[in-house]
Parts: sequence; C-alpha cells; structure tokens
Amino acid sequence: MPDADVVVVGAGAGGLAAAWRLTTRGVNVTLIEAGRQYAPYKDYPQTKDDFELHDFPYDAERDASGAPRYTSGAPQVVGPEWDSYRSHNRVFGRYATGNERQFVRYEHVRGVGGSTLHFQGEAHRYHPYALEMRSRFGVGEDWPLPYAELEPYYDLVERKIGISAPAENPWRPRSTAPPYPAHRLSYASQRMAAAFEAIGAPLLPNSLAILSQPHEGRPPCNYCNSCTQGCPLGDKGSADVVWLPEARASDRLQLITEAQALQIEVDSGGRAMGVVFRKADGSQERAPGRAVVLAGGAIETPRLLLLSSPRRFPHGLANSSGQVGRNLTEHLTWSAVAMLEERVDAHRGQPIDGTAWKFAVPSSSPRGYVGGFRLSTAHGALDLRGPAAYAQRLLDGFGRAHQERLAAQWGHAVGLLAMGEWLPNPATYVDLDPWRRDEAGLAKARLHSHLAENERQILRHMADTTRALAAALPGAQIVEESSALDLFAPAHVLGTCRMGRDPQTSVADADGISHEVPNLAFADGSLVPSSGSGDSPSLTIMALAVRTADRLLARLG
Amino acid sequence: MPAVWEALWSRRRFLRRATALLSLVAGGRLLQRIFFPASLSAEQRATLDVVLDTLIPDGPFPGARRTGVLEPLLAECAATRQTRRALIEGIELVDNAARHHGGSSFAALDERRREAVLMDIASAECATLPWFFFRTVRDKAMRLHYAHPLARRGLGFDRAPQPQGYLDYWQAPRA
Repeated sequence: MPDADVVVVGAGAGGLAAAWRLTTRGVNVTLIEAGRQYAPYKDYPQTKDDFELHDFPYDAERDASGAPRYTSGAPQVVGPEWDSYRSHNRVFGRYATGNERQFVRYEHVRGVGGSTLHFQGEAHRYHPYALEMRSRFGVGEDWPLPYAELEPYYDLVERKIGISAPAENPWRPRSTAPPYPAHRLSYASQRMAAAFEAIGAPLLPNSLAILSQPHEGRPPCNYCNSCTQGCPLGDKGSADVVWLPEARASDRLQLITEAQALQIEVDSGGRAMGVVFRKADGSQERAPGRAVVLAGGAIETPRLLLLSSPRRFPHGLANSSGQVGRNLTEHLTWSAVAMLEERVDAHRGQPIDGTAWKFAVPSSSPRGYVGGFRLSTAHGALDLRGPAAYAQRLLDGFGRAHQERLAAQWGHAVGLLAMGEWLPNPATYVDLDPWRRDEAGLAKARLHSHLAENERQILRHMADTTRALAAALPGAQIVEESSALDLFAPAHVLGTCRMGRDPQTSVADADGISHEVPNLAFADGSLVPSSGSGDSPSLTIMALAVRTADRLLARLG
Repeated sequence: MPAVWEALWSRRRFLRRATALLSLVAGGRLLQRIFFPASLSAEQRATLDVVLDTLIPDGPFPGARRTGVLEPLLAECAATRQTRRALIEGIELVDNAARHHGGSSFAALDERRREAVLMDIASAECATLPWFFFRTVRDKAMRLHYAHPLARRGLGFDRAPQPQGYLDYWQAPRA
C-alpha cells in the first residue's frame, strides 16, 4: 500500500469531514472504513411497497456469529419510586419488565457516511454555555477553546452541508444567517404549536441538514419522513453526500471499505506510524502514514486505543491518564406518542421538524439539576410512518373492532421527543469486554451507563414537561412513553477521548491532538467534552473535525 | 428360573426400571420439544390460519388471509427456537381453550367464541407461554398485514413514501 500523509480511521461525520479538509488542502489520505458503501436507491427501502417492514440495512451491526457488536456492563436498578416514569405502551405494557435498566443497542452505523446515514438530519449548534460547564456551574469540564473559535467552523460546515434553519432563534444566538430558510412545519406540528405556547416554550422549525432549496447539485427534500431509513434523494446532508465527492475528486483519497482497524502502530519515539487493518477476506494489511486521525465514534475510538500496542502500553495507547474510555456521555431521552382528536397525517414531513429551545440553555435549575433539554415534534423519529405502526403499537385489541378503530384513528398520532443533557460521571464509561470477542479475535467494547441523580432530575423534568404539553393538546391521549430511565439505547455518544487543557483529565489537547502521541488526532464524538442541552452532535463533530484537520495540517507543515 | 432372571423380573424392580425408562422417554421428548421443536403439522397450520383470520378478519376491510400473512409469519417464527416453540405450544393451547368454550377445536367455533378464546389467552399473566404466544402472533400479524399495500389501500394510503414524497406535508390531510 502506498504511503499516505494521513490515515483516517472511520468514514462517518468526523472522518469524512477531516478527510475532505485534508485532501482538498493537498494531503494524501488513506481512509479506512469498517462498513461498506451503500447504494441509496438499491439499499434504502422507501420505494418498496412493504416499506414498513424494512429498517435501515444495518448489515454490519452484528458480528459474524450474529451476536451484537457491543455489550453492556451491570445494569442499573430502577427503584419503585420511579414507576410512573417507566417506558410503557398501551398494547405491550412495560417495555422493560424487570427492575433493571435494559440495554437495547448502541445506535450506530458502520458504512461510508457512518451514523449520518440514518440520522434525522438535525444540525444543532451548542449553546456557548455548554463549553463552560465547569467554570459556570462547577460540573463537567470546560472545553479548551472558546465558542468564538468554534463558530467559524460551524459556519463553514453549515454552508457546505446547506443547512436550513430559522433566521432567529434567541436560545441559540448566531452571528451569521443560516444558509437556507427553515422548512415549514408539518401540518401535524402546526396544530401542536399552540400547546407549546401554552407551556411557555415556543415551537420553531428545527435546524436541519436537509435542503429546503437545491444546493451543489442536490435536490431539496420531498418530505417522505424516512430519514432514519437512509435518504435516497441525497437532500439529507449525510457525510457521504456532503464531503466525499470533493475528497474523491481531489485524487488524493484512497478509501478502503469493509476494513476493520486492528491497531495503531507506534515507533520507538512514540509517534504513530500507521494502522493495521483486517480486510473482509480475513487478511491483514498495514496503512502507513505520517499521522493518524481516529474517527470511529466515541465507542470504537477508545476501543482501538485500548487494543493498540498492548505490550508497550498495557493500559492502552495515549492513556497514561487513564482517561481513554472515561467520561462517556450520551443524551437523556423521553418520548411520547399521543393520539389527537383530529387527523393530521404526521407520516408526512421530516422526522423531527420542530423544536422548542426554552429549556435548552444550560443552567442551574430550581428543580435541583444542572443542564437543560429541548422539546421536539418527532413524528417520523418515533416511527409513525404508516398503518402497521398504528395497528401493532398504538391500538390494542384485535378483530373487527380493531379494524374499525384503525380506520377511524389512522392519521391521528403525533410524536414528542425531549432530549437532555448528560454530565460525565465515573460509572459511565467504555472498556474492553473481558469475555466477548469479535470475528478478528479482539475484545468487544463494553458500555457502562449510570444515571446519576442530576440526570434523573433532568429526566423527571423532561417527562413532566412532555406530559404537560400533551395535556395542552385538545383531547390528546398518550398511548406510549419511552424513557432513558429504564431503556439504554445510546446514540449520541461523546467524550471518551475528550479534549482539555489538563493531560491528567483529558486525552486530547485544544487542537484535538493527543497529549501523548504528537501525530495522533481525533475527529469524532469522543473528542467532545460536553453533551449540550440535547443538541444533536453531528454538526459539532464535523466542525471540530475540520478544525482538528487544520491544526494537524499546521503541525505537519 | 435362574436367580438373575428372577431378580430382573421381580415386580418391584420391574416397576422401578419401567418408571425410569418412561421418565427417560418423557424427558427426552420434553427436551426435544424445547430444543428441537418440529415444524407445524397441517392441522396446526390450519388452526393458525383461523387464529389470523380472527385477529384480522375479512369483511369491509381486507383480512389477513387476503394479504397472505400466514407464510411470512411462519418464516419469522422459524427464525428462533423460542418463537418456534411458542407457536407450536400456543396452537395446542388455543385448541385446548376452545374445548372450554364448547367446541371440538378452535376452528370449529364461531367468530364470537373464537374472539373470546383469544381474549382469554391475551389476558394471561406477563411472561407466561400464552402471553408470549399471543403477543408474538398478534404483533407479527398486525405488522405484516398492515405493511401490505392491499391493507394500506383499505385506509386510503396507497403508496410508498418515495419517490414522490409528501409535498403537501404542511397542509391539512385530504378527506
């Protein structure tokens, strides 16, 4: 394999953004991706007659034996005092029947585009306070850079993607206008706007990486509401659509798919020399480079470090501080599906089309927590795509009475989603599973998750607010509630190789480069020190990835 | 009679050995049912077909028979030992329950009494076999049936999301 200047591991949001920046600045990049490149019209199911039977083709999310790629540590006990906040459904009853939090799965996609292939297209900027949680509120850790330094990268990434967002959002101030106007709210969300006003949290169109106008040869959205199944049109700004074409056109990108990184090689001076990877046929190769950028996500990146060079670094590479894998944060979620009196056909639109930011400014709440959360209309995100969801999940019973009720209530369901802050805590982290190995014989990543009291209080506030909102919807009846309290299904994972000024409490420096290995950089969620107040992290990951690429370029000379 | 023969055929020993043999056979059959459940017999398939017709009957709206739910449901249930076993034992349960409702089998009951049988099974305690059987069959049947274009059309929803999308998404639904 020819020498590249930089080897990037992982072709998700951050990896592709970094590869774009590097290749378009004249650097040769080898990009190693564990999954495959999807063919949207062939692989995604929205054109199929039986589309409701199909999900995104998660064909690499299980190992060769069919077992999940990720395991979980000991589950947290959920006490009876939280019974009224457990996940439940009118048809099924409780989702988690025991008294322990249940690991569902790590929501992650292996493939060129990574998890942006199935994301809902949300493109949120963090509030500036989210970068100052330690100095403002005495919790978490401050970022080693000010918001003013991040904002130009937000601008750049938003322009490249073609973000559609409201011009005014007092809860997320910005110094430049968004590239494209926001999408109109769906009819369902318009009908809910008064209820949002009633609880004092105005509903705005969401900030979305989904085109409201044509952009760089991509068409605008046609509102099929199926972003989570993959976007066949290309209007959703998944990383493969946004960054890959220019990187490829540069002739400086070598993309190797279905190749699992096994370890990072380090020379006697402690510098990264390249990456050993395993191809689909089981053979191994080495990708040499002057620098390595890790972008496998906040679970796979620490796993790779912990697996690398076990003899020389028994605690893992770049891990003298013991911080690799620690400080894992995700997002608290509380969702509800309610049946309205009127038909609104919420299967039309976008998965999360509106958001109220009133509670999403990080703060010290009188309810006894630090953080915040946002509240969204989320019809497609809660899988209300067609009548199968209604018949199976929303309407109990069977027989002719069930058929008649379905005919009367089809089109009446709406979805609400609250997403909140998670502060780092010592019991939430990633390590290597001592018992379970993947097809390459390497230890699987094991996720440990613990809701501290701060998170439980935020979750309670999220639930109470969502219920108050549903109560303000005329005649609405909640038929399903789902909660991070008893279901553990992490998606927005962050912080496991966080950046910071102190090498004792962080893995990377202010440039996103390892404190210990001077040519090892990070371009994924693992770098992000705080989870924001429910802000979807992909925009922040991409902004930081481009910034890290710039800093790496400066160091490589 | 030689002593050894006599010893072997003493009544008490015979009964002990016979009991052990029967236990072994019964245990083996139990283990086989648990670990290697057979596929459904023709009678069991016929019963399941009637169960599906009771869950989603044909009438003003298309029923499960018209959308061909039986075969894909069997294929999905065959995927795991747990669902395979639940299906076989659940169908036995349905026929047994039918006898309490005055029928010789589930299929022999009228629709009202078939619904009553399924209601009894549906109300079983959480995590028991009847509960798991009913939940598995109902969930799969509803999903498979209503994802079928014929069932969707019955609700006035006549196409897949792409390639047209829903450009009227911001307007009130058409009646």
